[in-house]
This record gives sequence, structure tokens and C-alpha cells, in this order.
Amino acid sequence: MLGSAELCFNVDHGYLEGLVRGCKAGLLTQQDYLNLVQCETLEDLKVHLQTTDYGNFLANQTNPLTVSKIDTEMRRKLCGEFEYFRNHSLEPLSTFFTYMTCGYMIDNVILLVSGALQKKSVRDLLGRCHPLGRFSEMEAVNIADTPSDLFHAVLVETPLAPFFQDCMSENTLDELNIEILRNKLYKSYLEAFYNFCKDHGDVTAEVMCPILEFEADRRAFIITLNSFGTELTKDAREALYPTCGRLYPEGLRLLAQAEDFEQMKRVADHYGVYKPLFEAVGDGSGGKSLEDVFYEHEVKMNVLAFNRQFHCGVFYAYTKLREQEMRNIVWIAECISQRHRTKINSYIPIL
Amino acid sequence: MTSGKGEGVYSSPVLSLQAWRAQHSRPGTGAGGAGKRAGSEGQSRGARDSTSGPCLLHVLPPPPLHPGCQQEAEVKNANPDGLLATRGGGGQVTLPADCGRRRRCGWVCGNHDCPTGNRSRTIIVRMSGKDRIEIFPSRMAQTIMKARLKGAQAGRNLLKKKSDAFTLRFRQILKKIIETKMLMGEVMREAAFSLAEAKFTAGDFSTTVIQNVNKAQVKIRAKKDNVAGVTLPIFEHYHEGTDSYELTGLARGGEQLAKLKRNYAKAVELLVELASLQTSFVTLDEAIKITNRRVNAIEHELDEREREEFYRLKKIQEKKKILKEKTERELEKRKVAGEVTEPANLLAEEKDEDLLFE
Repeated sequence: MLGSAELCFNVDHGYLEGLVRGCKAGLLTQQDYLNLVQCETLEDLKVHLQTTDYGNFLANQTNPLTVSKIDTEMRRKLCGEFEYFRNHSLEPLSTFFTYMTCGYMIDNVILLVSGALQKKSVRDLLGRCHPLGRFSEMEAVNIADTPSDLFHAVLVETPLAPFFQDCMSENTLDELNIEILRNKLYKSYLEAFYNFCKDHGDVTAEVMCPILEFEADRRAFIITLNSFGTELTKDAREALYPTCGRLYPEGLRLLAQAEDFEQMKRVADHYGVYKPLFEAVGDGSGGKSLEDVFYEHEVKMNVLAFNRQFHCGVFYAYTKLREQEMRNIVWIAECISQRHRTKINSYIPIL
Repeated sequence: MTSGKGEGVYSSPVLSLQAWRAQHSRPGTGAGGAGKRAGSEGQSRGARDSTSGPCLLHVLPPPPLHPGCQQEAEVKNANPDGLLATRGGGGQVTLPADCGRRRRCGWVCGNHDCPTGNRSRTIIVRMSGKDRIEIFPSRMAQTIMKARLKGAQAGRNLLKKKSDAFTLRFRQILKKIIETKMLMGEVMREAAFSLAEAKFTAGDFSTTVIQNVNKAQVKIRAKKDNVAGVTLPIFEHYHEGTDSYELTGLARGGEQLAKLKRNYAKAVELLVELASLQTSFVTLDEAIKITNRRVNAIEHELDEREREEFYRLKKIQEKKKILKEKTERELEKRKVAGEVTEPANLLAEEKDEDLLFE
């Protein structure tokens, strides 16, 4: 139905969309960043943050204030908001939220698997998991001895099960390098998420699909870049590229053959979107790195997501922007506490 | 008195004694000075010397004179072979010809009860107040003692050289430590900042790192370095095994992680070097303290012997003075009592009763 989004979206999700837009308005502006950059100590930083939407989130902290405390408190705030949204959501938004959390869940599962294999205490491991990636079977990981047992007993109940099945047969779970496992899972997840958004259709698809395509291509580029000089073979590398991006299939094939940065750049030059990005990459330590450039592009796309209404993408965009803001604040705090202010302006500006 | 040649080994205190005696000598003791030298030479010639200068320090107050000693005191002949035989104009204290004993302590041991109650001929040697060696007063013992003295001096010089070598190395190490520590500060700062950068790009990878720890990649070996006899440990690092974090951050932040790894590897190497330097520093410090203590002890030893020698001589002089006064008084008494006549003095102008015509 044409215009179904305008008609139906607000029925189920209007309240939450309004809420998230209100939260988005509370993101730190450029002026706030300028104030933060001029702080001399972490206490000053705390005072400045009190005037923003963060309010007194550090009020209960004992002295001395450290960067990790700031980080923990910010994450707790974000999780609180996210949980609120999630608890009030209806289908299909709740599935959307579940998809969003799968990314964090993958990290947690990798952590738990490697920890359980080394017989570490479950409580420690749980303490280190990302709160957004919580799932109910987490405490049960210590009953398994090998990864395949773990899969059969525990993970098959989680939303991650299909991703595991995609990657491999269970036998090979044992021999796989943990990082390769992580990237394979993420690839399956991204593709599944992409398909979900596409099937949902409507404005959500229009907004989310470019974002997810970019994410896929970005992963392909970064994996290629980081695998130069390591033991990762070209075939193994190609198996990690998510296929839901623009680079698929030609670009990915070319990328798999690339052996240095220049060749990668040539591949990117074929695509109008990526060419200017690669050109913005500075040389060596002076200019921006490729990752910085990608972050900036992602932030831009997320901000643009708010220009459309009646879609689920605003939640995704808000979460990602919030995370980037957290990273920025932690970066500034580290520069202040280590008294190394030369690169303090290297945060990614959002608004 | 023959002018004695200086003692072979231990001439310095003897010579200094000469100087002292030249200063403090009473009139007419020039000969006594010579006599002292002769006496000390007589020491060496005297077959029954116990110890030479440095060892024998039996400085006790003069014992009450045994009547026998008193008689000896009356003998006025200078015994060239006796020690300290002549003092002043006509020594009062002489070694009796029959007992060729050491007069080191200013009395005769053995003839009567030594203050220490030792009836034998042995002399007690006290060294710096610490230990006592019983020495049989013989020429052999003296030679041995001289040899020991020589050894002690040589040892002292060696120790001094050792101490100098240590001090030189010590200063070098200190300078290097200061440089390395400054560099360490810079490198650690750089490494901590690169950690912050990596966290910015790659997110929180701390759990991944901690989970995948198994064997150490950088290990150290301890080697030994020798400085003037003291072994100093030197640590050297070597790599072993592959990098288990090669694929960490594959999808995000790999570049920053690589830089981080490099920075911290540099920091670890610097730390190993600093550890070697600091252990060497501490070890050398100990060694220097010990060596200097030994040097000082030996110097103190030698000084003390010199001083004791002085002291002993002074004491002997005093005692001789006392004895002399005593005998003079006795003489007076006897004169008064008329027991003793003066021998005929040809030079005195006196009327000779036997001469009828002058």
C-alpha cells in the first residue's frame, strides 16, 4: 500500500519514535565539544557534562575520577535508554531491536566460548560482556567443554543459531581461530539483517539498506587492509567479506586479490561513493586513517537517517551516534588525563 | 752505637719515631736516638726478638719492679745489644746481660710475673684491640710478622684499586640509568596514548586480549658480567613464538592495534634494559661498601699500629725517667749514709793528703 508507513507506523511505534528524536536532540553539539576540549582536568569535564543531557550521571562516583568510570557510566545510560525502547516496542520493531543486539551478542559469545574453554570463572566473564548483547542463556556456558557442545546445548536457543549454522558444520567449530569465527558470524549476521530490512520494505528499507551496504563494504575494506602481512590467506579472507554491499560480486573478487593499499584504492575507485573517501585518506601519521574516514561517513549517513520519518532506522542511527559520542568523550578524557593534547581534536564531529 | 740502618720492612714508623724523638728528646739523647736505632736494629740482630713494630702492642702500665729488675736498673753499662739499652745520659734501664729478652714492653717478661700472669716467654700480640695472637718471641716470628705486614699493605693497595674500579663502573651505570629512565618516561607516555587511540577505533578489545593470553612471546635470558671480581647480571630479551594477536581487530582498528603492539614492545625492551642496569647498580653499591670498609679497616689497622708504637715508646720513656729519678734518689741516700764513696776523681781539684810537696 502506498504510503503505508505514514499511515501505520505511528500506531505502533509513534511514541518511541518521538522519544528517540527527543534523545537525539540531546546529543552533544559542536559547542559542547569545544567546551570539553578546553577542559584541564577530568573534574572540569564532569562539570561540563552536567550541563548537557548527561546530567548528573557521574554524581555517585567516588574520587578519583577515571576515564574507565566515565565510560562505564555512559554505557549504562545508553543501555538504560535502549532497554526502555526495546521493552516498549512491538513487532516488527522488536525484531529490529533483536537484530541490533545480535552484533553485541556475537562479541559476548566469542568471549564466553574462549573463556569457557580456558575454564575461567563464569561470573568474571559475565561481568565483561557488553550489556546490550545479553541473552538469557549466558550463564549456562560453563556446562560445555568444547565449542560444539556449547553450540548444541546453549547457542542453539539464541538468535545466533542460524548464523552458526551458516558458517560451518559444527565439527569445524573446534579448530577455527576465534577471530575468524567472529568475523564469519558477523558476516552472516549482517547479511541476515540486510535481508530483514529489505523484506520489511518501505522507508525502513530505503534508509537502512544503504547504511548496511556501507557497513558491509567497510568491513571488506578493513579486513583486507588488516590482513596484509598476516597469515590469513586470500581465500580465507574472501570468505569473510559480507556479500550484501555494493562491492558484491565484482569488487569483492578484486579486493580478494589485492595485496597492498594501492591496489585496494584502485578497486575503490570504481565506485563513486568510495572514491572520495579513499582520496581523503592522509599519508602516514599526519592525516586521517582509513578507519577515521569511514567513521565520518557512517556518522553522516546516520544523521541523514533522521531526515526521514516513520521508519525503524532512527533507532539504529541513534544508537550508533550515541556510541560514537561515547567514543569521542572517552578520547577527549584520555587526552586530558594523559596530558597529551596534540591530537585532542581528532574526535569525529557529529552534529 | 752504630747508626742503624732502617728496618727493612717497617721503616716508616721507625723513621717517624726518629722524628718524634728528635723533637721530644731530652738533652743528650741524641746518642739515645742513635741508640734507639741501634736498638731497633739490635732488635733484628737480637736473636730473641718477638715481634717487630706493627704487631706487638703490649701497652700496659709498667709493672712493679721486682727487686731483680731493680738491680738490673743499676747496671749502667749500655748494652749495645739490648733494646732501649741507652736512654739519655747513661740509661738507667738496661737489659741484663743474662736475660736476652725482649724489652719491648719495657719490662722483662718471664723473670717475674708478667702483668698478664704469663710465665712463659711468649708475648701477647694484640691487634687493634680485636684478637690476640700468642707469639713466641723469636726471629722467625718476627720475619713472619713482617711478611704479614707486607701482605697487609699490598692487600690494602689492591683493595683500593678494586674500589676505584667499582666506583668508575658505578658512575657509568648511574649515568646510563638516568638516560634510560628519561627515555622510558617518553616511551611509556607514547604507548599509553597509542592505547587510547586503539580503543577509540577498535572499541574495547581488552577482554579479547586477556582471554587469548597463553605463552609469553618476549622472554629474557640472564647473563653474567664481571667487574673486578663482582658478577653483575645482565638481562637480554629474545622473541619466541608467533604473535597470537595477529588477527585481533581484523574488522576494526587493526592498524592502530599494530602500532600499539609496536609501542609496547619497545617499552618492554627498554624495561628489560633498565632492570639490568638497576640490579647492577644495587650489586655494585653493596660491593663498594664492603670494599671500602675493608680498605678503611686495614688503614685503621696500620695507623693503629703506628700509634701503638708511639704510645709504647712514650710509656717506656716515662718509665725510664721514673726509674732514673728513683735511682738518683737512692744514690743520694747512700751517699748521705756514707756507704758509697765516689771514685777518685782525677779532675777534681782536691788536696791529696798523701802529697807532701805540691
